Amino acid sequence: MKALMRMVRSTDDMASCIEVLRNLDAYLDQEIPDQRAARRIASHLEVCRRCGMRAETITELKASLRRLAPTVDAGALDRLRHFARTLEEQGNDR
Amino acid sequence: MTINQERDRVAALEQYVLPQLDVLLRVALALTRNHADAEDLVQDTMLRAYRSIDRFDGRYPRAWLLTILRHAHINRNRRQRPALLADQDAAHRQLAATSDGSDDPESLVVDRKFDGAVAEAFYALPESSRRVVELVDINGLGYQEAATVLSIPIGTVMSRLHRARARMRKQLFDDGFTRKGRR
Repeated sequence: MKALMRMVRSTDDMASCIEVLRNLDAYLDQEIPDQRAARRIASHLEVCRRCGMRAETITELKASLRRLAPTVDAGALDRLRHFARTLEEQGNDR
Repeated sequence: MTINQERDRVAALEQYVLPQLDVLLRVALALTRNHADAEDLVQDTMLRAYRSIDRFDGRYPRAWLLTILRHAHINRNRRQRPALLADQDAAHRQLAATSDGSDDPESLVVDRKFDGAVAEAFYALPESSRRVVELVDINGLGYQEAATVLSIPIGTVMSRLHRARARMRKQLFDDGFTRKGRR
């Protein structure tokens, strides 16, 4: 029933393939501020296999790139926090 | 400056700056390609932030700090030539770490072969696109934040990101990674 409801949904509620492909990066990066536009893309992705596959590929690509993130050096973070304390102490001494 | 104002500064430093140290260090590393330089750049950023913190309105601390970091980076570069190219040794270490290991073509979770191919596609990107991907996809910055760090319009961030992803997708496809059965 849900699927049927989706199929009969007015085309106004659903973006076209061209619109989706133009905005897919921003949509997947959560950079579409207009909630209605984002919903129209989401509705399209639910029913369009081609655009859906493109979205999945970009999502996987993003996840894989995220795993490339270098580990932040814990020693460097400690030294920077210590530097913050030095700034604070100098401020309090003034 | 009164004692109260000084206390406010210290509180603001703890509230706005300390929670962003991790992301500042990542972005500094992306800009300098060198751990020691990145740490110096963040320290410089903290000092500048601390000095100007009473003029900060408390909104979007990350964007505020990234702007300061960008300016600090530009000032430092006037004094010394920046490392323009990626640290190739680090790149190769990264590739070596991701391109061997388990062989599970159906895995949709952590597929080391896929990660290795993505790393290769990433390092094959032109420098300007790679920097945008590095900030947005690897370090999780928003479009406006990446635009601030790179001093380019947000539209350029979006077009470079789009081109870079299209290029990486094509390379992955050419390498045999398709949706139906990855190599």
